[in-house]
Amino acid sequence: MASLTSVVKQCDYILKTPVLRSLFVPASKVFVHLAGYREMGLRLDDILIEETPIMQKAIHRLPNSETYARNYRILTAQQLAMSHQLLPKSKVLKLDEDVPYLTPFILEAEAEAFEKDELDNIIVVNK
Amino acid sequence: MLGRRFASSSAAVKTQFSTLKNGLTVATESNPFAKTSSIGLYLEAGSRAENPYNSGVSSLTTKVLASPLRLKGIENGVYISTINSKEISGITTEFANGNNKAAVELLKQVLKSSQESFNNTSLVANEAKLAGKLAETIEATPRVTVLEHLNSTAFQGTPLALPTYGKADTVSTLESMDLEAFYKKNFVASNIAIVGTGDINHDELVSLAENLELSSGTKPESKNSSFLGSEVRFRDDTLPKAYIAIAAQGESLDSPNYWVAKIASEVNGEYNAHSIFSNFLGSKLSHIIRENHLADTYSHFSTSYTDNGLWGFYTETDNVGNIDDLIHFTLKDWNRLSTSITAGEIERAKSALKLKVLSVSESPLLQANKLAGDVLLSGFKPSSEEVVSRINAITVSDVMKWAQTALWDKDIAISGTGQIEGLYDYNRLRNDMAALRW
Repeated sequence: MASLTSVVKQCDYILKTPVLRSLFVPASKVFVHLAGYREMGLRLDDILIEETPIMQKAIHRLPNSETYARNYRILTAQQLAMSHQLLPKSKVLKLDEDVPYLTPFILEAEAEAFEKDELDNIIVVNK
Repeated sequence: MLGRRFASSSAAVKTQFSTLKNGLTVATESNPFAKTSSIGLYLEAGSRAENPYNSGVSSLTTKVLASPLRLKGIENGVYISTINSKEISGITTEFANGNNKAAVELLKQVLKSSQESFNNTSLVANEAKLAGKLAETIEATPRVTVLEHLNSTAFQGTPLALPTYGKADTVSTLESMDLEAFYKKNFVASNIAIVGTGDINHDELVSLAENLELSSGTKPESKNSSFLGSEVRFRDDTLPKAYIAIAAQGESLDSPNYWVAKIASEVNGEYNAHSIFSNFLGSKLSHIIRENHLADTYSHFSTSYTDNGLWGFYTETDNVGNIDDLIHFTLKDWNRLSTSITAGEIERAKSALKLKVLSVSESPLLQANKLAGDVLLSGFKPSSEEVVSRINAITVSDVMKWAQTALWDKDIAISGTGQIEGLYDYNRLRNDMAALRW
């Protein structure tokens, strides 16, 4: 189960290496287009699996305005799914609207979990 | 700051004991940097030296002896007070440095005018009424009363079960006759220690103590005690919370496992939901309790008397619907002491214990009370170095071995008051002291 921290680390490495960057960035654009979540009015961070303790912590820490916006987007997407529709082209989410708003909160929560795991498994060394 | 205390406590502070010809023990902890001093007369007789019919006589006797001389003491710059616990009673004085003679003179006066105080029926009646009120106030304070009841049920049938300050209906009816009998039996030189702390010279205190007129009778024989797994519940739904204490039989003061039990109690230590530090306690139990808001406070203790002890915890919670979870997770964490406790947790517990034990109190009076306990009940006072080395020498396997014999599947004493409908019956809680996996 890859943590978002490791994913972010890999992405940073890819973006730093010109060869990989020229490969992955266009490929990712195609992938997002084919995935189609933007046509349902969703951002990437809306469709991450939320039924884990770390995600729950991150979502609880969102500011209220972000929470309301997130809930509205998810409700819209559920209505569209139920009625087998997609948003009109004018309402489809653009690249600059697909903000990773939840990512910093998730990274924070994951860092806390890693630290707790480290502290729970302290090894005592007798000097 | 702690470093400075360490330096002053181990380098300049000197602890000395002497025993006089008449059997009186004199103990001094001289600290030339102390701002005030304290000299007290302590006897090795507390509520444990009573019986159910004169419950409260130890605290009443010290009060009746001390209160007539309070005003005279203040005139001479000496503040007199009393201290009472289960195994120690004492008449203590506090004063500015240099006033040793006046303090010992006051104690001498206390002993000389004892018969006069006992004959003063109005004084005795008044003090008895006040003592009754104190006992009632204690009954009305859930935190204190739950722990008193824990002792009462755990050591039922033995004198250790009697409440420290007496039962309200008994102590308010005590008369001079009872006080005289208690005085005659327990105020004997071999049963008493004169303890001085602060800027006091040991030899000077010895020479002053030799002037005290103490009867030299035989030391009263020590009473027995036995632990019985049992419970006592005072359900009171008008209280805002549930107040619960659970304990297994602990270690006595002279037990080789005294420090092991103390370390085990520090593994989970204390928790307060309203403190910002409770987020970062590190113990697994505190995390579970905090995530699910199971308790307002809990504190683990390892109480030791001369021949018995209690090891357990006290908790307050306003989440009265989930008391079962609170107790379950706590007792399961006690099981871990026997099975899977880690070296990291033991090291953390050792550090916390060292901090607790080596913190020197600023008040000479509190130091004197502690020293009196050491002198009378243990017979010695360990130095800081010895305490540190004893604590450091204990390993994870020591704690596990102790827990396997003292905690795993052992009888517990339960005491509760407040909204304890959700506190399961004795069998359920007793079964949580072991797990069927091992």
